[in-house]
Amino acid sequence: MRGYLAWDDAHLDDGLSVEFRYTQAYRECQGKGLAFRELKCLEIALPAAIAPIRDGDLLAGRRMFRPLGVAPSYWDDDTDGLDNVSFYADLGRMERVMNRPSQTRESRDAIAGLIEFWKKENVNAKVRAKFDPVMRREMPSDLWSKDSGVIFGLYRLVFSQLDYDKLVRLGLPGLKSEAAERLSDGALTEEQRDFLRSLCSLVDLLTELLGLYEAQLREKLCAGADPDWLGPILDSLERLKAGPPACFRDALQLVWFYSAMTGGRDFGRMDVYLGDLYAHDLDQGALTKEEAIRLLLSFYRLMQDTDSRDGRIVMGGLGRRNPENADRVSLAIMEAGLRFRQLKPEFSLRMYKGMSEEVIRLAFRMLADGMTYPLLFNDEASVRAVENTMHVSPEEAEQYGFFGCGEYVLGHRSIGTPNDIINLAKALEVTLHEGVDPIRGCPHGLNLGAPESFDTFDKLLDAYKRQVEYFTEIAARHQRLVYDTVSENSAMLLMSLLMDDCIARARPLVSGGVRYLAGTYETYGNTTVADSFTAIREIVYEKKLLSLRELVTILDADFAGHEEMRKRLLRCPKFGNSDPAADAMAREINTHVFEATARQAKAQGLSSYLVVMINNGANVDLGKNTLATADGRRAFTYLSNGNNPMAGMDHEGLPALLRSISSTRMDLTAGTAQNLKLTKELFVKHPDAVRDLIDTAFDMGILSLNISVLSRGEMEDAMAHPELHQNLFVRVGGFSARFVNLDPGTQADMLARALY
Amino acid sequence: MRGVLTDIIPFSVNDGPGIRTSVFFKGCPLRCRWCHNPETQSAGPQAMVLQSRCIHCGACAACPSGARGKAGEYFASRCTGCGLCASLCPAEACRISGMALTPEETLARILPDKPFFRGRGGVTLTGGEPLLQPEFARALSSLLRQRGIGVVVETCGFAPWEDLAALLPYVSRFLFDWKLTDPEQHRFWTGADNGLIRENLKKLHESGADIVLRCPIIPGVNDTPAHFDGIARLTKELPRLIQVDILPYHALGNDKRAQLGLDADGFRAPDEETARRWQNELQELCGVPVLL
Repeated sequence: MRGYLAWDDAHLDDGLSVEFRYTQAYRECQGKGLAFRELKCLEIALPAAIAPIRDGDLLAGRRMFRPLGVAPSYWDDDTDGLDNVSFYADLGRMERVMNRPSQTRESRDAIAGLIEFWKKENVNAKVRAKFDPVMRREMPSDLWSKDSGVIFGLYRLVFSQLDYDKLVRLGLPGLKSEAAERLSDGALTEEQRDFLRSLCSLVDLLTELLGLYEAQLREKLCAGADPDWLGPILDSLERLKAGPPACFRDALQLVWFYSAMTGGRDFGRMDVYLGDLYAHDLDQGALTKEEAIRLLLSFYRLMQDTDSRDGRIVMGGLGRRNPENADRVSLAIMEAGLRFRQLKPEFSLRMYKGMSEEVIRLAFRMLADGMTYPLLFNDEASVRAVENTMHVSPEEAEQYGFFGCGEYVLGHRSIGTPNDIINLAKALEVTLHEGVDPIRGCPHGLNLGAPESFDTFDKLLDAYKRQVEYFTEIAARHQRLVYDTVSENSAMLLMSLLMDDCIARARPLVSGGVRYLAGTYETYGNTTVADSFTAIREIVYEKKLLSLRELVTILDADFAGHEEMRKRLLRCPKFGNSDPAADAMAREINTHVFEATARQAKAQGLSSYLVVMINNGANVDLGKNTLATADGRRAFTYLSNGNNPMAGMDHEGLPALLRSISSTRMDLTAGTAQNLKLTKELFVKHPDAVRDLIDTAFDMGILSLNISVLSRGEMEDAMAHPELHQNLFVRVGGFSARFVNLDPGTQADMLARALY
Repeated sequence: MRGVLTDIIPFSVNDGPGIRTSVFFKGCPLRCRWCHNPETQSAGPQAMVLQSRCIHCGACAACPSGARGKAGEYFASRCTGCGLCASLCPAEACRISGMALTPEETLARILPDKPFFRGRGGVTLTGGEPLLQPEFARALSSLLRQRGIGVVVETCGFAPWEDLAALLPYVSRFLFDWKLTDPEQHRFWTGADNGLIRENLKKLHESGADIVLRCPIIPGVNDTPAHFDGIARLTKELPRLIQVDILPYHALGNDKRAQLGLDADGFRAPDEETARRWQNELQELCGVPVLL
């Protein structure tokens, strides 16, 4: 279990009194307006979520997560980290409280009743209850990390970037005034009035919550805590109750507080919304850079302690109203990051022509330090891609943000949560098995014929494409169903308050409020499938070394007794080496799924529906339920990741790798993750070469680069398994060698040279 | 006209400024015993066998000159470089080192890498000895120059001055090897006297060319005060030298020696501390930056 939830559980009372009151409010407010009901639930849940300040905190706003609540996504550990959207219920945690030895029978029965109620009433369950027969057949499980299947649904409204700039400019009172002013419009429906009234009351609730944090600190002061420590925090909370942030500290405090209450984890263009107050305070002598860094460190610590996912901070890029001030604070943001040295925050830098060299230098120092951040974005190309795929003006596209591994979203204007994932390798697998999932042994997907019926390569490729289109249509319907169900159950008040154009339209977030209701679709195994098709074309259809049926039999047996054939398959051209055939196949496979996905937007009434090729561990989990593939990959091992070659299959050098990667139509997606693993030696000894490499990659149209400098542990792993690291750049002056042509022992020696 | 090359390796960052593509020429007039590119010594094609990959299938025993045994053995002295074994090997354990390319074909292989050069990087001709194929080296350098690609040449300096001089219009920098100061020692360890090398170095310096002195340091061979003094004297005599690069011996070449059917060279690589000490000692003596 994640640490912070363990702490939270220890502070749940046996009677779950808050949860009972919350449920009572939920029941009593049925039919009294969705926004009102949500507000009443928040009024019980949020005050009960306030957690004590810890030593060293320079900002207030620690919170706990209770087993019942309303959130864009609540991550449930009992189901291996599945997201829960809107009204969530962590039944596992409630069961653990119910089963405490200290429980009375009466209390246990009461909690059992509560669990029964929320089993059906949580929004995830409500989405599943609305599945049609096709969805039930093709999406029998949500446990993508454990079960076998082509597609899986996710349930969340993650990664929206709230308008923290507006929050900092207006403060809580300003937000209330805006909602109240809109409420004065006589033409509003009762539903709209309910929504706006609830927003006003929400601001009152938030102000009360600031007061609760204040009370907590005052109590601590009375108990002898250092006034030099708590005094400034108290002053800041006091100011924020009455007006907008007056200084850098206030701005950080308010943004942290709001995000903590929302349960949102993406911080958007922090350099923009903090830049002006930072510059002002520094220029007035009211703040030193060192003090700012200490405040930022406290902010990061709160992020780290509160959740284990995301936490993206965006810096740089076109379309900033205050580039100089933003750059100044970027330096402090990154210097604090260098000191913090944790997995969070996820720093991201939008790199554009003519940007501050000082900012770039510091970003490179972070990378050279092995931090894997900042993620680097090719700003000009990203703006163009967002403009094209999301159908927005260049000015709106300039306000793109990104989340997760670098998926695009329009800052405080769009929802683009990825709520479905597809295992493309599994789509090929069920196609080759006549519409049966060979792992579960039950029908899955379309039966498009026996292997013998695919007497030409094109017939097989077409069948695979039809299969992918079939599943993609179901996935898109699922995405819409999640939005519709959220809309029927909640107003997502905390998000609505800071997302365009919810107040202007007087509509909740996913009920017509957000300007762009979009969606994204995570694809996995793209390169695995592309390389498989390249191999199938050569071995089965061109050289005719075996029939497709025989190949399927060999794959089902995980190459047992056919090691020679596996070697032949491995020797077929692979993506990542600038091989024309392999790259063209990858482009065809990718473009197909990109376009098939984008076509679903209109049918589902979404402003866009786009593929994201990302970079988490799902390729490993999905691979565990995927048989051997024709690229030579063994059964149940990882699939390819993002828009990257299969590990160990790229061996022609970085220029060839980048040429392959750039051949993908990244401009048709909402983001593709490109990993580059470099040695520390390269960063330290050849910073100019690293800069040239990145500039060239961006000139080639690559949208983003996730550069990691290999840690000692990774380097040692590379030395133990050099076969998986054929493209690692360890160069020795004047030495002529391709890594791939050396003995594994020498490969390990070479890698050791770059181990710092 | 065709040049014989062993490889064209992109993203070389240690052989001149920026990101470079290194072109390795096959054939060298010297026989340095520590050579880390032993496959570039002989001028003709030859088989290289990676024993760890051999599956002992016996396919290569079809070798017409009897260079390959049934269990994958390699009798290197009999190899004619015909390439049959490489074409028959199912495990890719065997390959042929040496490819004959025209300057235009070589250029075509390099051009995809051009975007990475960005005015800073370029192409390094190395080997082996580029000056052992002077016409090809000149033609290729000229083609590169026409495309706006900077050329660096790494040379052992053992070549007719005219061949070196003919490259001057095309080359932005020379990486000039200086292996041993003492002529007799030089002859012993590399098979040739260093008189011509010294003379060429002086002439190159007089011509105004950018020169980096590249000094392989091999423990037990030239890690001596006398040689270090010799290097230092050169930097004083030739004041326009840009820098001295120390190339500490490494044993990676033994992998390729094994693939060529040769015994290990028997030298021992210095530890990092020793290499840094060499750098410090030389830096104190020399008037130019000394880099590792």
